Amino acid sequence: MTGMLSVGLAVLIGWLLVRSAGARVGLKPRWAVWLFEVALGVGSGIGLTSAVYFLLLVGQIASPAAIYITDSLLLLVAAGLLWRRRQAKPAVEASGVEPAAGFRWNWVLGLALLLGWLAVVSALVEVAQANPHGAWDAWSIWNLRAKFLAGPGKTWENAVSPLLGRTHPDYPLLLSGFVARVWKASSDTGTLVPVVTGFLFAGSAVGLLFGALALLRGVSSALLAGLVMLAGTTYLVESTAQYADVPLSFYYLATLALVLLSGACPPGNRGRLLAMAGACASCAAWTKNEGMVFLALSLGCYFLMEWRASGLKAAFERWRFLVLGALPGLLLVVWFKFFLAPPTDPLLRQTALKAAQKLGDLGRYAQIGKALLAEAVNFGGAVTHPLLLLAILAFALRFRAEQRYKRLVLYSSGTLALVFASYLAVYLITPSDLAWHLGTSLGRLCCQLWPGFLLVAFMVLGRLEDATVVEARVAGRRAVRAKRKERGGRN
Amino acid sequence: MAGTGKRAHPFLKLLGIGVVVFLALLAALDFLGATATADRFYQDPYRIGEHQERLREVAALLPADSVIGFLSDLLLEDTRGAAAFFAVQYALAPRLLVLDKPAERRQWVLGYFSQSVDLGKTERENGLSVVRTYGAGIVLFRRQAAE
Repeated sequence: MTGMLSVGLAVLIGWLLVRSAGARVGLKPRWAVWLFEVALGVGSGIGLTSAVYFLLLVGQIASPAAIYITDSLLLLVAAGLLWRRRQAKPAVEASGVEPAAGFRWNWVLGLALLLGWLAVVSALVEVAQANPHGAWDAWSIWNLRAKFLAGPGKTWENAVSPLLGRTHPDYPLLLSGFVARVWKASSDTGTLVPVVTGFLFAGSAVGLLFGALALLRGVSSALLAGLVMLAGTTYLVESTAQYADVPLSFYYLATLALVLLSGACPPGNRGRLLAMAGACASCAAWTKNEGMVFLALSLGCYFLMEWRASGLKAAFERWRFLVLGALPGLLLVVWFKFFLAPPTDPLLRQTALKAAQKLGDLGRYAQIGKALLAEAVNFGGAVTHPLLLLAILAFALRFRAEQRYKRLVLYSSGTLALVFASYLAVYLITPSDLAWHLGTSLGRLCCQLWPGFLLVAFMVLGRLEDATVVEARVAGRRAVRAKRKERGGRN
Repeated sequence: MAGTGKRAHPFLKLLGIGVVVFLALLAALDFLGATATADRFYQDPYRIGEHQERLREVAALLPADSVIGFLSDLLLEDTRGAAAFFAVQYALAPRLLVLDKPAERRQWVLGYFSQSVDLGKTERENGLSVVRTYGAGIVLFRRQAAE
C-alpha cells in the first residue's frame, strides 16, 4: 500500500509540473488537454523521481525517509510553480487548433474503443497475474538491477558492477531506478510495483496518443488510433513483460507529440512545449541505450528541419529550447555512461575491420529483411493486423496532412525512420549471433516505435471531421439547389 | 489543407470505418481468448516465484553486500542453466552472484545441482565445506580458509 502511495506521489509531482508549465494555453478541447497532461505527467513524474532517487543513492543518503522528504519538496515546488502560473494571466489565449465539426458516429467509435480496451485490460491483468515476475529480461536485468538499487548501504553499486557480465550493467536506470525507489520507500520488493509501472507506461502511452491526436487532428482520429492500437497485440503483451521498451515507446511518443503540439499552440507557448519535448527525449536516453540514439537524432532532425524551413537564426532560436529541456537528463546520462557504468557493450569492443566485414556480407541483409518481414506479420493477428487496419483507413480517409504541421510531421517521421535505420545497422554489425539477436529483440524494437508511428500515421491520414464538413457542405448545396428548383417550378 | 488522391465515396468511407471497428474489436476478443489459454500453460515458466521461496532461508544467512559464487552441473550456455543462474541471482539480490572460480576464493558459494552429486567430492575439489543443504539440489557452501 505504501508502495502505491509512492507511485501516486511520483505521478502527482509529474502532473503538477506538466500543468505548471502552462503549455496547454490555446489548445482545445479541454478534456483532451487534461488527458494529455495526465498521461505526460505519469512519464515525467516517473522519470524525475527515478533520477532524483539515483542521486540520493550516489549521495549515500537513500532511505525511505529521504525519499518521502524529497518527494514532499518536489511536490511543494511543483504546486508552487502551478500556483504562480495561475496568478499570471496567460499572454495569449487564442486557440491554436481549429474547432472541427464532429463525426456523427463518434459515439459508436467511442463505445467500441471502450469495449475493446475493457477486454484487452482484463486480458493483460490475467497475463500479469500468471507471470508476476515478468518475462526473462525483467528478472535477469531490469528488476534485478532494481533490487540492487533498493538494497541497503552500497549494494546499489552492484547494478553497475563489471561482474554483471550478462546483465548489462551499462544500461541506463530510469525503469530500475523508479521500481527501486518505490521498493525502498515501502521496504518491500513485491511484484506489484513493476507490474503497475508497466501498466502505467502502457496506459499513459495510449492516453498520450489519444490526447495528442484529439488536440492535433480531432476526436475521430484519436478514437481510430485507439482502435488500431487494440490490434497491435505484440505491443499490448509487452506491457506485462516489465521491460524498458514500453516506457521507451512512451518517451519517444511524448517527444514527438510535444514537438507536433508546438506547431498548434500560440508562439508564446512554443518554447515550453519544446523544452518539455527535450526533457522527454532525455528521459528516453535515461531509459535505454536506444534512447540515446533517439535523443541525438531527434535534436539533429529538429535543427535541420527548422534550418531548412526558417533559416539558421530562427532554427537555433527554437532548437535551444529543445536542448535546454534535454540538458539535465543528458548530463545525468553522460555522467552515468562515462563515470559509473562499465563499458561492457560487445558492440563497442569489436574491431572496425570485423564490423566492416559484416557490412559487406549480403547474407546478413537478407536475414535481417526476412526477420523484419516475419516480425511485421506477427505484430498482430492475421485478419486483424494493425497494418491492415491502417491500410483500410488510408483507403477510406486518404492522406491529408495539414500544411502547418507538414514540417513537424517530416521531423517526426524522419526521426523515427532514422532511429529504425540505426536499429537495423546495429543488427548488421552485431558481434552476437545474428539469428539469436534478431529473435530476442526485433519485436521489442518495433514496439518502441509503434505508438510514435501511429501518431505520425494519423497526422497524415485524412480526418473524418474533414469529410463530414465537406459532406455537410455538399448536402447544403444540394438542399439549396432543390429549394431553387422548387421555387422555379412554382413560378 | 493539402490532400492527395480522390476522396473515397461516403459509403465506402463509412464501410471502411465500420470494418476497422469490427476488426479492432475482433482483435481485442481474440487477444482475450489467446491470453486466457496461454496463461493456463505458461504460468511463471522459469519458476522465478518458486526460487524466491526456496532461497528465502539462504538469503537470510548471507550478508546483503556479499558476492556469492554459483556452482552448478548446468551450463550457463543452455537455457535451463541460464534460467537457473538468473533465478538464483534474482532471489538472492541485492547480493551479487557470479560463477564460482576457486581462484577468486568467494567466501560463500551456492550449489545448484540438477542431479544428485557427491558433496564430499565437490567439497574437496573446490576447497569448500557444506554449511547446509536445502533439498532439491540446493546447497550452501563456505570456502575453507587457505592453508
